[in-house]
Amino acid sequence: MLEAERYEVIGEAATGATALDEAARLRPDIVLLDVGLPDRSGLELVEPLRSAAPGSVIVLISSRQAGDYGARLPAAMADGFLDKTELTPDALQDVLARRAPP
Amino acid sequence: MSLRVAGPIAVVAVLFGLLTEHLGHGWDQPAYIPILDLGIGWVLVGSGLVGAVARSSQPAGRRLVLAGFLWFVGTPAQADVYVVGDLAFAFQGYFDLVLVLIVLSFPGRWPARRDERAILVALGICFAVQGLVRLVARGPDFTGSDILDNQLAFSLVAWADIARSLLFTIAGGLVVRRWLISSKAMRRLIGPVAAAGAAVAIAEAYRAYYPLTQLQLAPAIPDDVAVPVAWVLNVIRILVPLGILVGILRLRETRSAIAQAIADVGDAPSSQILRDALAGALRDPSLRILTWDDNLGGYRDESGGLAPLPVSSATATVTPVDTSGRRLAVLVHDPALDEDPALVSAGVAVTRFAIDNERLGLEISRQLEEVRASRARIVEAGDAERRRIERDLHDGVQQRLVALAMALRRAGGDAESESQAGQALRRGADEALAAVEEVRELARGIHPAVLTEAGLKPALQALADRSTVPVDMELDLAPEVNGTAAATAYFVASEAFANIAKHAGAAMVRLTASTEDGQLTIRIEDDGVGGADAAGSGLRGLADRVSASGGTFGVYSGPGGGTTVSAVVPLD
Repeated sequence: MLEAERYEVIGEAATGATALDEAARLRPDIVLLDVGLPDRSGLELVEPLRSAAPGSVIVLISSRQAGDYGARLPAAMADGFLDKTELTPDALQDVLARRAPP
Repeated sequence: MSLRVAGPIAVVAVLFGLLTEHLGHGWDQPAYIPILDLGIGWVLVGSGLVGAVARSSQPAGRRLVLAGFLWFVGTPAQADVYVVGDLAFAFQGYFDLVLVLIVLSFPGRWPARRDERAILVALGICFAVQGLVRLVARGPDFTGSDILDNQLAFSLVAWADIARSLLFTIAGGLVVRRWLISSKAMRRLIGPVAAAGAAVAIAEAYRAYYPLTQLQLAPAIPDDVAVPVAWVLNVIRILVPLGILVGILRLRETRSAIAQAIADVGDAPSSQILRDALAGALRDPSLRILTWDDNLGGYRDESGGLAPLPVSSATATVTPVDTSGRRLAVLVHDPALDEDPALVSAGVAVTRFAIDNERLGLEISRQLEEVRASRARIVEAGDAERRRIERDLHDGVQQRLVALAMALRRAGGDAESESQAGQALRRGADEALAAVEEVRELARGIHPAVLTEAGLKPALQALADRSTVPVDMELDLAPEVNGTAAATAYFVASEAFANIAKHAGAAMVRLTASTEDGQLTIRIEDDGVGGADAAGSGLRGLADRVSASGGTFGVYSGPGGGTTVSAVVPLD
């Protein structure tokens, strides 16, 4: 879906561990990070991802809603959060726009 | 012995006494003679009857009665009545043999030691010789004094008399020895008997002197000494039955104390209390109760320590306490108590009752604890299952619906696309998203994700946010509150909010939750119409859930309005 709109998927990872490796290798512009990963919570992965791939925009995505995570979501310090039902190119654009330009 | 038997015996004793006195001395004597004759006999029979009625299993009472009748038998020894006088003369003094038997046996049936039995046999021989000689040697003029004419008979009787008195003295010594080597409890019982026996021994030692004067081996005692001494001796005789009676009644006393022991134990049966109560009741300070421990395969003492296998000995008797073939305990007690089997078996019954009671109590509290734990496990398992279903809904159905919606949206193209197919696809995408919302609602009802993901505080916050009635919230929760306690508190609040929305018509809700002293307290008050039904299925289910996790639940809802739902749950 995203590929249709000026985004290119350059890598995919099924677990947190491979995500870290892939991000370090590919240095993507944007990381869409699912909260519900099999090996660890996406919320805990934001910080190591930042170290592995500085400069990447990290957007958390989840089938749950932002409110379900309470204070843990802001504490994760991601660049944005998208409920998977809201995951459209426009919504992603909004998140990127809300983020202060580098 | 029952009163129905004792009464007639008493009447017979009175008449028999009067008859023997009439035959023996008539009534023209100085008053002290009938007074002594009748007095001593009646005291013997009377004490015996009282003892036999009070303590029917104790032979001493019946033996005293027998001694009393034998006393009367000797009275007409000088009577000029054919056969009666002969028999009286022959059997005079036999009551003493019975008294010695009582004194050496009490509180048992027969003397326990060989030397005591030997003395008894020797005395019996003396009495037999005396009686036989007197029967044979008595002359035809019935005066009794004609025995003096038969030198051999006279000597035999006199020497038997001396031997008898000496044997009595030895018997008195044996009684004193018995007292000295007895346990404390036994001393209490035989003390009065032993004292009387010792007094008689002294009196008998003096009496041995009299036949010596008859044999002209010792100077005669002047009358002004002999008469007062005879009085003293007779008074001492009265002491014997009274001493025995006191001993018998003390046996009786210890038995009724069992009732007190039951009362003492009843309230708070513990090993120590039971032991003390029973030791008091049995008057045996040495008493020990060793309880059988199946796991240990041995006995434990009152303090719970392992006790060596108890064995009966000269200083302690071991009595088992069993219940339907299973061993519970043993009583290790003073052998003095062996003489009173009824008392010991009452003690055994009290012990059995107390130990059984204690075991049942422990069993019940153990089972209760098991039930409580299993209820808590059921609640926990239910929570875990709800969490699993919620996660499955999110990760399964919901994910697929989301993917479906996205695919439909993509296929539908831009909103500007006016093709019918495009519109239908976009409607399909909207439907799929609506289904996602419904699945989310369903999942939240099963187990709110926010509770798992963020904890109780945001979960309560989310509840308040969704509430149609304004909520005033005051939360003071430890951050680590989670698991069953958190889920329970959440469901209490959730049910309360649902009820408020449906029934209360409230303008304001106040929610307070706090953790303190290992407990979580949650309280939801509204200012609505009140009258909530605590027995309704929702609140009933909550009450069950709260008590299953070991907490307390309350609904206060007066007709005047307002409802308060509160729960206190222990933290895991």
